[in-house]
Amino acid sequence: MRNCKYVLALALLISYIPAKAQWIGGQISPREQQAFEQRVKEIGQFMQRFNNYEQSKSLSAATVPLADSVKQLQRTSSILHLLDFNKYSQSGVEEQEKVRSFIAQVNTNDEQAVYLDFYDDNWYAKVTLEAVFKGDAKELALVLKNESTADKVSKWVIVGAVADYLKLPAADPQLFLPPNSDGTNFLRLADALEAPQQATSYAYTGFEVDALTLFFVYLQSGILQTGRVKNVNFHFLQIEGWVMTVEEFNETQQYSSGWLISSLEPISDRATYKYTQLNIRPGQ
Amino acid sequence: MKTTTIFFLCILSLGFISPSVGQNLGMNKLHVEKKANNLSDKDLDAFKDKVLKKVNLLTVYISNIANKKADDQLRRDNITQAVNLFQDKNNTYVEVSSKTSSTVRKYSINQYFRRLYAVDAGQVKITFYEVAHLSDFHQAPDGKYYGTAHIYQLYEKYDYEGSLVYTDRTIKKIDVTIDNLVKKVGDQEISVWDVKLGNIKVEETK
Repeated sequence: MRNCKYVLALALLISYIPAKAQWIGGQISPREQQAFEQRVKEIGQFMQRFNNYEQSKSLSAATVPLADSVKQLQRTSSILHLLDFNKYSQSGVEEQEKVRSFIAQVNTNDEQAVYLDFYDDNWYAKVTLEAVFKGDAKELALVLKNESTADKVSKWVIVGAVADYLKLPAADPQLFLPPNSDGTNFLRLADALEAPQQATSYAYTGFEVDALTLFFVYLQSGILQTGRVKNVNFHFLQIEGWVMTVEEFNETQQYSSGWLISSLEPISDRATYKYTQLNIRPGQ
Repeated sequence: MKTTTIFFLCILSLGFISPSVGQNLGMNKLHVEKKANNLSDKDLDAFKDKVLKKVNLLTVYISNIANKKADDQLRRDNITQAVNLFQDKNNTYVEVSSKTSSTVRKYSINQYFRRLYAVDAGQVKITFYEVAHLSDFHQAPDGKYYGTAHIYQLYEKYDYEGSLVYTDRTIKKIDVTIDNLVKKVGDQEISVWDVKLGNIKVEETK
């Protein structure tokens, strides 16, 4: 049955006729024309193709309504086209099984089907920038999300920062203010704080520093300077139990380019992934 | 393994299928009630045509500015006309990255066109894919609508003997803003929406 579905998907693909296109004032090979058409040019277009919504000139004239099973096959092929070809064409059984099970979960023939929307929660851009921290060249990743109102007015906002220097020295359990400190009006407190590197040892049990707060403090105090954007990738967490990472590939890709799925990984839960991988505090 | 490769090869080499049948799967989710001074989805579609016209105009200017065989006055006029398509001429820039170097160059919009005009070559041909791609527009808290236009460029440089000495393919990603401007007509103030281009990110692909 599964093979049958893929044969049908292939048959549908064969029927695709690329839209007519030209270069102004020059010549371009049919391969390049096709590469332009196929390229996933921006993340909104990625979502449209993932959802199988994108308008196609070649198919928009279709007047015969398609059966749900055919639509489902079309969507399967659309999602397959969004995979990084170089990686997934060489992948082993384990990766193929992930793809199969991901598509099976996303592309159902009922209301359980999952679609992506620009105004969704739970998708993030991870932007890597050049940075200089205390005079040394470093990298910095900022995590952004599109924050929107109910009437779809939106803006990208920073919700996380990732860098190994955005942390404070670990607390030393040997250091503490003894229980009688109150008796001498906390005389020892001044001594304790004379060593700033150890200051967090005197914080409450479970105290954790927030990397994003440190980022802003370091930036505003001049300890950290940021430079140009080096890389961008997107983390989609809307699909329960999965993280889908999307990156931009240029035409070194043989059959596909633009914003493509670079990895599909199962996750135990969304909140843990956000916290551990993207340094996003609960609630964002 | 071989079967998998052939399967992907078939899927991807036969072309991307992008059917239009998905509207009934939830496209209506994207239709929202807009406030009186906002643009409806229909308005935005109309503006997309206007944006595409402006972007196509930019491609014509760029081709002319680079073209050493074109009339010199026309080329210089086109620099001014191209710059006028942009929102803030002094704070708009072009960032150019290359595949072969990690260096990223940044130019003001005016500087970028002037450099293009002055390329040391017998001839420079720049051709564009006829259809620019335009993203959806999204409204920001300032009331403006923001989107991105993508244009694909083929650059060919010839020496003074007419031999092709350099070629590349680049993508130009251009910020586009639809802004609500208040204009004075006589003693009345009228509100008009206008399209302006913004920063450009140029990436070499080949």
